[in-house]
Amino acid sequence: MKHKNKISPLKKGICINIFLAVLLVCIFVAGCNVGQYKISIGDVIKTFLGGGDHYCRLALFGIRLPRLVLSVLVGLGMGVSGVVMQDLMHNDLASPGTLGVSAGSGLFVTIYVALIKQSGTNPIVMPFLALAGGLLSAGVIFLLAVKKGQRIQPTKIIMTGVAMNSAYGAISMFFMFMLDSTQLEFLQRWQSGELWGTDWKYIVVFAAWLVVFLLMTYYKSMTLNVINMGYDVARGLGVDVGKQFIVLSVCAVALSSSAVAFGGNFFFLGLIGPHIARRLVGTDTRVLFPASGIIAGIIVITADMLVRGTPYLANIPTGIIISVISVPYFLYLLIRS
Amino acid sequence: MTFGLILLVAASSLFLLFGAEHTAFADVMNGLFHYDEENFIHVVVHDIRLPRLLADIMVGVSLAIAGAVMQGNTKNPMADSGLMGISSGSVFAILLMLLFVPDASRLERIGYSFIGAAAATMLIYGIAMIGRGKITSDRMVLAGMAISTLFGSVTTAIMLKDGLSASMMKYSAGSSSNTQWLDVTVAAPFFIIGFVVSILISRMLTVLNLGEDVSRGLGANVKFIKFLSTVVVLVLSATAVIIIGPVGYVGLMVPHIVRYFVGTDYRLILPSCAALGALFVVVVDLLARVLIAPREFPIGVLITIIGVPFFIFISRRQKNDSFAG
Repeated sequence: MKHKNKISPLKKGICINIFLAVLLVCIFVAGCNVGQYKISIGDVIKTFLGGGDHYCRLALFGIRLPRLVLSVLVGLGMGVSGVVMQDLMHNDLASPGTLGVSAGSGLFVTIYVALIKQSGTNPIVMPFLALAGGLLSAGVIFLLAVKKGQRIQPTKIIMTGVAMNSAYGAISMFFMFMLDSTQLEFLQRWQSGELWGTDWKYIVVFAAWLVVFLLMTYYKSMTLNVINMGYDVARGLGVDVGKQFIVLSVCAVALSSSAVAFGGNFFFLGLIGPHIARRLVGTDTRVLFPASGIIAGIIVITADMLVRGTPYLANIPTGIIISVISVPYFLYLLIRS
Repeated sequence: MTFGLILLVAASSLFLLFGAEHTAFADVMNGLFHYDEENFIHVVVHDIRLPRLLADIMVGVSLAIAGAVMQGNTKNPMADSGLMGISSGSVFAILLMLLFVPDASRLERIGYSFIGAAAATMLIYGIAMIGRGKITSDRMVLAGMAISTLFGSVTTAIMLKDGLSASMMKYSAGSSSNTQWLDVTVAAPFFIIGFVVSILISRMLTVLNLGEDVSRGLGANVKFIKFLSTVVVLVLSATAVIIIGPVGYVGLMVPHIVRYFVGTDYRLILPSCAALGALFVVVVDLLARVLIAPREFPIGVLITIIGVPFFIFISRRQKNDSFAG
């Protein structure tokens, strides 16, 4: 009997993924009717199908939908990027936040936004700037971590990330002294993770960018699976580890930096998304990628719903909720490790 | 070490001599030894520059010693108490103070800042302590990262809700520009206790550095030394935080340079670190004041800009687990 019931981990993973996707859609729809203006679920569906009155359409398409879509995209970017980084480094604590990659992306965007002022920003430029900043951090970490004939020391990478974070923090602090109070507030909100790119023109750029790199990452998922078994094993199986490492890192940085550019800095998101996903579907990246992305998306949407639905929390950056939720989880991981 | 002390004296006099307000050497001497309340220059020297100089010295000594002890204690050359995020606690406490007791006195503010720093310290240490593994500096830094993220995000949330961001700015960047005599006198006892204890345990630290088994064989109480040195690190870092705010990298750079010159004996390392750390902070603060006078760089930012390349340099040079000194 037991033998018959046994399903392969891959199939189980796919089932869990489908379940997660359904959950995401449910929460997405629920997210549509949270907010200051009440819209019932029936009205939400009606409006989607083309009906509904003017106010419903305005609230839904003008305000809530872009924000929800953005949440999902940010989650996807961060979640998948976190998986790649953790697998590449063979370290559970690696993530865009802890490695200082998102701080690097952040710094570049901050400077750009602060100098140009909010109005005149060009959505096409931002992901590229964020990518440049993220690659800079990744490059420094790479320089430090990878030496000829030596293995990568995980703790060293993390310590480097902490140091890089504090360095970027100091530099952006330096810029903050030159800003007026409106810019300062924008910057502080942005640094603590606010979904701010809620304009369709940003979302289109973001989505296109994500699709390209998600496909590329997914295409490499088998390679990553092999690398995850160990660098030596991968080399033995004929993988050009050095080259793949770089390609995958660039993908990971590109994913996280676009999320940072449009959604703000969600420090722990890229860490906990992959963790929860790995518990559910195991380590096979073919199912881990979507699971991690969807879970991170669910986290962002839920946190954002809390912000929009609770009057007391209104106007607080979403990232703060995420941090408050995820720090205990991170500490739990730390204590267990 | 003597060399470092001479340099420190020289730098200190330069510190008193230069600044936004031009002062002559004779005026400085008079301001120090024949203090006259009516004379503007005397007031500048005596009430603005001197306390700031003392604060810088205390911060430099504290951070450098804390770094050296932490590195010795955990055998991790990259450990630095300044990167642990203790300051987030004190910033948070100051924010609460601005919210609930907006007209608190300066002394009260220092008190709040201290309580906040102490609370954050306890949390970080506590978290690093529970769980299966031993307390390592990595765990402490990671716990610090988590705690400071938590404090930081709650701080930002309250700040944005109540429109306090502009007034909080000066507390969240490391700067000694507002130091007064009061800050110096409040911080001094903690500083002195931390300093003296660290010197007292320096011999034991040298032994401990030979390895835990060896030192146990030599009759040292390893647990006790580790506990004591952790307390020293925490007291000294908290002292630096209440005087100046978040400043990283001093505790990382100074001990490395010192070890290069004096070797592995902590009886030599700690005093030399003290001298060099003080020298470093005084010089950087001098630069911070003079470079764009009459405005100032926040000293924390300047130190970080110097510190990061250094960090990268030692990190590159570090060999696997071959850290002995």
